[in-house]
Amino acid sequence: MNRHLLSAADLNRDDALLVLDTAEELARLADRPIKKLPTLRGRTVVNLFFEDSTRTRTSFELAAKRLSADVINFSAKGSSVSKGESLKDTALTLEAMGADAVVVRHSASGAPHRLAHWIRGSVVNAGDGTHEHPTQALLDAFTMRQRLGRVEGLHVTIVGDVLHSRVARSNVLLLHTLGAEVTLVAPPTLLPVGVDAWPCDVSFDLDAVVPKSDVVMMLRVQRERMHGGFFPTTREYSRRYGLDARRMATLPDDAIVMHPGPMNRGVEIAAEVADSVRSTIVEQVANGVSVRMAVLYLLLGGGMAEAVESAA
Amino acid sequence: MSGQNSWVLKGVRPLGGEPTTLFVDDGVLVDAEPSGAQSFDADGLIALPGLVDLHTHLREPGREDAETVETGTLAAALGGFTAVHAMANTEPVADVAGVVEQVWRLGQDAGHCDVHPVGAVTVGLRGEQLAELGAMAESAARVRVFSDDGKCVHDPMLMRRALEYLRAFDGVIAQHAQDPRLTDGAQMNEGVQSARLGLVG
Repeated sequence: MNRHLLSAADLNRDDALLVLDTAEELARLADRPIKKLPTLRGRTVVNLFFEDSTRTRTSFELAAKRLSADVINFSAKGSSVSKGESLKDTALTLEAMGADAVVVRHSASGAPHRLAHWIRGSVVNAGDGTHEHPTQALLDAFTMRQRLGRVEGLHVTIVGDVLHSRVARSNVLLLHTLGAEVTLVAPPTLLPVGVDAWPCDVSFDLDAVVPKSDVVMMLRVQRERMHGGFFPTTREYSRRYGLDARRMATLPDDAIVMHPGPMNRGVEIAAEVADSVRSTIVEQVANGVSVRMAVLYLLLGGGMAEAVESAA
Repeated sequence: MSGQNSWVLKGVRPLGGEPTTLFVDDGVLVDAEPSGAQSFDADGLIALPGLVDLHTHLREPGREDAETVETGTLAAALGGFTAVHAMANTEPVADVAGVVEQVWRLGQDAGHCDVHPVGAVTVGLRGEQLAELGAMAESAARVRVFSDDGKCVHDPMLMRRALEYLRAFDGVIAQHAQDPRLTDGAQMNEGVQSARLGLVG
C-alpha cells in the first residue's frame, strides 16, 4: 500500500481487498467487551478538520483510539487556522509535533494532496471538496460485501448530485477496481462534463435502472444546490430522482439501499425506504469505524498477519 | 371499407412537381384506387405533407377574446397545418403540467390538428428559476419544446442549466436570438433617424 490514502485510485485490487479483509477481522472487536487493541500504542494520529463533520471525525477518532493511538483533534474553529495560518504552516506545525498520521477534511479539492508533500507522516483524505472521500467508498464496499457476500459483479447504481459528490467519485473508482458495474443516475445538470470518460455507465432514467440494481446508493442533495438552479424544484427532483416505496418495490429481492448520510428524508430518500430492511444506513456508520481502523493500521506499518493475530 | 376520407386526387402536383393522380385510403396514401373513394379535381393544386407550425399563439387560457384553441387550430387546418406548437405566454403561463395538459386536451377536443403545447423554460417566463420541465415532459401533453418566447432566457447560466436538464428527455429550447438588456427602452431601429428624432434605438 502507498504511504498515503488520498484517492480511491491509490488502491489496487489487492490493496483494497487487504483493507476490507483487515477491517473484517477488526470488526470482530466490536463484539467484545473490551474493544481496544494495543497495536498503535505510542503513535500519534491528528484529525485535522477544516470543515464541520461530526460523523466522520468521530469515526476516525474512535478508530484510532481503539488501536490505542494518541489522538489529537485539530479543528479549524478556535485554532490558529482561524487566525489566518496557511495550510502549509499548519502542516509544518503538525510535522514538528511528530504526527504519524494526519486525517484531513478540507473544503478545497486537492488539499490532502498538498499536505502530503509537506509532512513525513501518512495523510488520509477524509473528504476534500468535491474531489474524493476514499474511506467512505471503502466502508460502502465493506457493507456491500457484508450484506451481499461480494462486490465483484454487483450492479451498483449511484443516484443524485454526482457533480459535487466526493462520495460518488471515490465509489466509482473503488467499485471499478473491485469489479462492480457502476451506473450513475442524475439530472444532466448534476453530472460533470467529462463523466463519459469515467469507468461507469450514465443514465437519466431511474425507473429503468432500479430493477437491474443490486445496490442503490442515494446521494445527499445539499441545501445550497436546491437554490442553485440545477433543477427546477425539490418536488420535481424528488419525483424524478428520489427513491420512494414505489421505486424500491421494483428492486430485485436481495437488493440493498445505501446512503452516506446525513439524509434529507422526503427529498432523495423517502422515510419508509430509509427505515426499511433493505436500508444499510446504520450499518454503514458502524462499518466506518472498522474500515478506518484497518486503513490507519495498514498505513502505519501493520501487516495483515499481525492484524489478524492481534484481533484473534 | 373506405370511408369519407378516401380520395382520388386528379392532376395534383406532389411538392410542386409533375401533375399526377394520388390515391388516399382512409387518410393514408396508397398505390391503387380504394373502393368507394371520392374523386377530386386537383388541377393546379400542390400536395404537401402536413405542415407543422413551430410558433403559434392560441391565447387560451386567458385571452380567449383574441384567439382560442378552437379558432387557432381551425385556421391552421385550413392552411394545411396538421400540427401547431402553442407558445407558453398564456394567463396563467404554461409553466406547469396542469396548464400544458389543459391546452393539449383543448386541442384534442377541437379535433382540427395536433396541438403541442410549448412549456415555459422558467417560472412565469421571468427568467429566474427553471420551471418543472420534467413534469411537463411526463404529462399527457408530452412537452418536448420549451421556450420563454419573446421574454428570452437571457441569463447564460440559467440557459446552460436548462439545456443540460432537457437532455434527460430529449427536449429542445426555442429561443429568440436577442438579449433584452441591449434594447432596454428601445423604440426604433438605431441609426440616422433615431439620432434625428431623439428616440432610443
